[in-house]
Amino acid sequence: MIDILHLSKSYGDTLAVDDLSVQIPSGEIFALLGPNGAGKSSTVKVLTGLMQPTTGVVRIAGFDVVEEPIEVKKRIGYVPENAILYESLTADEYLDLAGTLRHLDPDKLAERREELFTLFELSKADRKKLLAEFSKGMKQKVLLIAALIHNPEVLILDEPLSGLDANAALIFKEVLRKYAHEGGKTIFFCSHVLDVVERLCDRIAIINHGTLAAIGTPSELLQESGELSLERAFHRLTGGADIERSTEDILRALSQ
Amino acid sequence: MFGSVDFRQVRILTRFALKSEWRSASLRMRSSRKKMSRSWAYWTMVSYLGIGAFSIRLFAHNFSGDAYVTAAGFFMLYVAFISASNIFLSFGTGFLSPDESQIISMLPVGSETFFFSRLAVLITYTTTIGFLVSIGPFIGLQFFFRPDLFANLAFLVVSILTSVGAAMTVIALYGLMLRRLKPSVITRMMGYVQFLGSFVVAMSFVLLTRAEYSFDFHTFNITTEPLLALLPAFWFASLAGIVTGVTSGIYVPLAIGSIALLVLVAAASHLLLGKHYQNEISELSASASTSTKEKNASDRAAHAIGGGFLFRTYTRFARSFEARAVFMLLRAQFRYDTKFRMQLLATLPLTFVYLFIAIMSGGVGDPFTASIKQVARANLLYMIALLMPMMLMQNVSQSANYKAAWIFFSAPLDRAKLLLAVRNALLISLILPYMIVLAITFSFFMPVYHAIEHVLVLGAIAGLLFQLYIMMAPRMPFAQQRRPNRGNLAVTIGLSSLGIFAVALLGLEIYFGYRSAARYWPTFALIVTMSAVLEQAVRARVRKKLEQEEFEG
Repeated sequence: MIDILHLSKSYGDTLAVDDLSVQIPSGEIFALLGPNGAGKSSTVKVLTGLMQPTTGVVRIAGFDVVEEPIEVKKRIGYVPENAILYESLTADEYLDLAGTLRHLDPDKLAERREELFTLFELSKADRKKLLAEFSKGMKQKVLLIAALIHNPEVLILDEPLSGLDANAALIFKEVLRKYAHEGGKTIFFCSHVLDVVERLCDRIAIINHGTLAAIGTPSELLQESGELSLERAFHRLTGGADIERSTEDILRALSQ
Repeated sequence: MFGSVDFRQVRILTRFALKSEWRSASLRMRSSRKKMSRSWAYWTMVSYLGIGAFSIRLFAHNFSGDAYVTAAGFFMLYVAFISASNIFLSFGTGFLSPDESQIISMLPVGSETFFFSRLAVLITYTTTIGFLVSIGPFIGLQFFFRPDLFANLAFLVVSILTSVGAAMTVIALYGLMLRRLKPSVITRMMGYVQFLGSFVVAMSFVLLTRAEYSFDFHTFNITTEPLLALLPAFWFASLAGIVTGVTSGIYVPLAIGSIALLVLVAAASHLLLGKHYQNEISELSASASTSTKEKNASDRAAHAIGGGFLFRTYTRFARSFEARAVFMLLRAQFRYDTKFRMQLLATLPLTFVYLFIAIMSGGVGDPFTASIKQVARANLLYMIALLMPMMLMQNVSQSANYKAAWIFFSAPLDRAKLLLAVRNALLISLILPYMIVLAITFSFFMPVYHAIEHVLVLGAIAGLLFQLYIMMAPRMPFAQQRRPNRGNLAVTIGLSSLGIFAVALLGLEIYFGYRSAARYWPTFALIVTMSAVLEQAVRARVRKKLEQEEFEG
């Protein structure tokens, strides 16, 4: 469903993504992990059409993101890392905007909006409020609803659980699981919450300095790294500093 | 008095604030994010130098005695207006910056310390403005009119003091408002106050320019017109005059008055804002998130303008999803976002001022019967009407909320359709009503059918220009970071060229087309046809350019 072939993205002289190749089939929940500045956001921005690749090919549902961006965007739902919305709109209006931009039939849009609002426990009064008045978690719920409202074939989620309360997070994770495994949809997931990734995702890719450091199921990554948790495996595969020594150094510096 | 101020913190905060503001002002992010280029800060500085250079002529025959003080008084008025309007228009984001306050509130920085650091930034900023505007006249006086270094340096210093004093007066007035009014009321009324303020500023500049040409300062000065002494700018001018030996009569008390005024506004701003500075900012910040009640009031106001009716009409005829989506967003921003609304309506003060100038010069001449000279009285008014669509488009492409435009970049839409939908929405909701009001206004100066025909031509030329502008600088709506004077030199030159082209075309049309109905309608049809023919080229160009545009956020 998602084919990333030799993708590179550079900003001037800085190479953010370097020759990345990954194939993600339908019905899979796939996580892209990496330390800060590893190239995750650049990859996501290319997948979603916010930026163009410098070189390489990205195909979603068989469509090239550069050659046929509209066809690609029809098939994806996207939740960006930072909940940036038009705060002068109400939640209702924002979803109207998102749905209209996705060419949804107004009746269908209203029906889905209603169902998703109920699922995410946003009351009728909330829906009439300006987004400026929403908390971070409530804004995140609106973003999730906007990403799901057209029932996309591919969901691209950048830190989707950020700010959600425990109940909403639980429901959303279950929705994702069934959406992929029963609905046959593809989910591309970026997160720093590794225990969620470990439990939710079928396959994980770790990138470091823009290049692919490892790819496989959670158990394959644990096996490859010889560690017992994904957190430790991630640390080892991305060449992080020695944990014990770093901890001691920090505490020693503080006590001086 | 300053016991609770930590001056070490003031120094550090000031240094970092200046560094950060200079960087954000002088570096412009390009779409490829990492590349940066010199930008508007430099052009702003050049424009201040230009204003100063333009003002040298004020002193050409007025470099001594009463005439010098009067010329300096008018110049100080310029300086004061420039400085005060700068602070006035950027007050909410500059002096009372909620973003910075949030960062600082996590640190052990006292309210007065924070206040003093912001004050130091403000003084640096206004000193720079004062210096840049005054350096031209200083050079003119020193090298051409009056080679007296001490007196001319005094002029420079007093100009800077005027700039700082004007800014401090605005601060003190805001402080007074904060004491008297609720933060929520201030937040709500700020947009309107700034809108009215822009009328006053534009009008003042016009009156000042006319005053220079209308009076001989050797006979028209404070001694012959004592009412001028009521203007504080003339108090500062008196201070500059005393150094050159103008010490007679009223000048000494006025000079003392200028120093007293500086002390007074400094003390007032400290007293009114200093101790409660952080508290005031957080209250203003909290009140900025519009309550439902405010929203409803705003909603009613926008409906009064016609948003509801136009929306219903437009959505009925809008064929594409892009058009409906864009109009929905434009309408919501117009209804709820006072700043956006005021920016879109910013051409109104200029229209009003230029209409006023035309009336003062003898009225708007009927272009069908009057001489070219009589018609030319309203040239500036025509210019603003012709450029209005482009100014609107510029305002719509930039947004303080530009990061939210990710939705346009990630949605399956035809970007060209989106931009053209914005164009159509602006044409229907703002440009058409503006032209109707213009026709009604013109009908007071000429027969109604002449007014209508004239406005039809203005609208047709403005439409043609609008097409050319969209071809020249197609931009995704709401997707560019809003910064004053944003735009590169090529666009600025392009805009000016279009303005000149438009006035020339109007001139030609009046000269040839307005002579008879047999000429009028074919030439009008020709202009409209040109716009229509351009449509395909506009679509092709917009599609090609926007496909390559990347998200800036």
